[in-house]
Amino acid sequence: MAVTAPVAPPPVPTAEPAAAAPTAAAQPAVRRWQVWAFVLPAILFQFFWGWYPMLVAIFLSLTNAPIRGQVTFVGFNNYARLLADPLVAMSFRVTFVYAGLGILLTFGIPILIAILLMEMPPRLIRVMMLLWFVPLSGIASTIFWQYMYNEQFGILQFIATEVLGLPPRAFLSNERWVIFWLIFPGILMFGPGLYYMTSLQSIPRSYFEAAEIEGASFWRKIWTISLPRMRPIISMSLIFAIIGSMQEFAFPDLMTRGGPNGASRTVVMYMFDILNDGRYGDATALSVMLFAVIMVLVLVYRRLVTDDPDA
Amino acid sequence: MAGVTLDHVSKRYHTLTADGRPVTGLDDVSLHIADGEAVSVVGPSGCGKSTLLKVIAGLEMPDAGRVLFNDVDVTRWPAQARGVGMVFQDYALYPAREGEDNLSYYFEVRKRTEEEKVRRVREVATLMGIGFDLLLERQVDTLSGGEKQRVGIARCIVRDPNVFLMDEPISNLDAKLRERTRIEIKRLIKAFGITTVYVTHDQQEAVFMGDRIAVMRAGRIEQFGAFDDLYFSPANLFVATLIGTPPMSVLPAVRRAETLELAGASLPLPPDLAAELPAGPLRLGVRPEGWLLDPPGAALTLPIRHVERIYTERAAYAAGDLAGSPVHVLVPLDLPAQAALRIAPDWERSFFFAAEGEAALRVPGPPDLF
Repeated sequence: MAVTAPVAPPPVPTAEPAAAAPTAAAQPAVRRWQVWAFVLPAILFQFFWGWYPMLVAIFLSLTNAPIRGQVTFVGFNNYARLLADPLVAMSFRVTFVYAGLGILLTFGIPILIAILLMEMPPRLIRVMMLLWFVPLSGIASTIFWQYMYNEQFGILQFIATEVLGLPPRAFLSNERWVIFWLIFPGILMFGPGLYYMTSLQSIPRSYFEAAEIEGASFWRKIWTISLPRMRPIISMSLIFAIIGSMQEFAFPDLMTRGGPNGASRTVVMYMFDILNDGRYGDATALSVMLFAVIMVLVLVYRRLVTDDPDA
Repeated sequence: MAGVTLDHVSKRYHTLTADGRPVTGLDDVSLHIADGEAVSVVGPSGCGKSTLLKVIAGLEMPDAGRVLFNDVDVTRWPAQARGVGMVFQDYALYPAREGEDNLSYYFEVRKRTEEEKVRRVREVATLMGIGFDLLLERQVDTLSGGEKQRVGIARCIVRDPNVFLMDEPISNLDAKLRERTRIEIKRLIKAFGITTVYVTHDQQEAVFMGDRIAVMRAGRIEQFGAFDDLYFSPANLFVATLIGTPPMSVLPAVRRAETLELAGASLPLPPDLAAELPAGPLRLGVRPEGWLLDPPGAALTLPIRHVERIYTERAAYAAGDLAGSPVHVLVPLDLPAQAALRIAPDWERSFFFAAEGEAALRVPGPPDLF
């Protein structure tokens, strides 16, 4: 499974020559040329938009990174300053909670919903897949949720006070709960639900029929058939979820601007703040730190989740 | 073990197939399978043969009619209560499990003792023959198609089913493996004497597997009988052309008095046969072995398109067209090269059908061997 998506796949062409025995003598030179022709665009793309910025960022994080004028090498001063900054630690804490809670809530629940939905009549399944696929404008749904959470006239406040009879709550201005309320919409709108449903649809009916004949219960069928068959797609979406949720920015920024008191300020949001202050060296250093943290998480994940034998 | 009876079973689906036709169900199907009998169900795809199997298994509930196991009405029983074993075309082995786990699944689900589970799995492994216990140790996803189906069959017999249901078990295998697995299944069916329903679209397989064969079309059983019945006394044109390879040639003909006018020739009919057939247009059916080569008297001229050898016999088929219909004629291998054959139908082995519809007017019936 590739962590960074658009890496070119050289093994495919190089595996070819073995098969082409009869005319092998004339082929190799042409082959090599063709291989490079196919691979080069991807390598160039990956170099200029992937590896080059990364290398420059690592370099810049060790300098004062001025907009113009002399670039001065400052060693690990930027990092030292960031480590001493309590707001950096806080933003990492927020990010971990945001990502952890987010994956916990938005990852498992759609799996369950997808499995239960597949038991519904086929027409409902199609409607649900369509709904999950409807392209929602990020900004529009953010504004929608801002309205939902409004403390004076929002729908959720109405439900809490008028329907459930609870005391009014602060929602996004409560430091303890703000992250939960930011994640909550994701439970309802998380994308992989569609992947789950398609992968569930690809399981032949006979698997369930075989289990039914043997007397397996609904949950046992899910445990022994549905989940094992979904495992590759779950494992892939999880790694994207980890990478994505560690870089959360747009939604919390629009909803809360990091407040109250930085209780929802993620690392990328803080990085943005530092950039706005013109501290480019610090900002790149922070981005390199975040990169390192995500890299470690991905490596740990790869170590824990061994490759599927039947992927 | 159990005999299986379907009593006026109907099943209608309300879903449509991809091309907008309703999914074939069952249309008033009645069938009695004796205890220990092996029955093949054969028919073109979409004829409802899989539905028939699922109704017996309890995976589908019929809209009308009854399903009986040994005179016990099991129509409303769920699948797991019926004690059937089913083998699927796509094997349907539980993923990401070892072969052995697939066999013991039933015992886990039923919360049987560990000791019973181990004992049964070992018994079945012995029955399945050489090398089978090696398959049990492997992840099912690493097994080949043939190996998977062996595990699938073992999973089916490990719990002593009343009825063995097989849904095209070998059609996903390659030709050589298909042959071997077919014999293997036959051996197991015979060894256990379990009532078996074997669904296939391949008539050769149906003949090999079944003591009797049910021919299905569009949710109905067209004919149910031993192979010789289907072959020599087909109930209608559909069964006649489905059974037999290459298929029976069907030619439009007209009976006038004592002659049959056929493809521009006029053939004299034996008097008793002429008396039996209605005057006017009808259709003549002749199987490849039902043609007389170079007959004395009136004959048809068949231009030879090609000759194909039958690899299992020292003979060949000459193929050509008569009156726009394909005709196959069984010929000896040493047939001299020639552009056309003189042939005439052997009246003893000829089939007659109505000109319209599919009704059989006269069929030769199984040959009297004794």
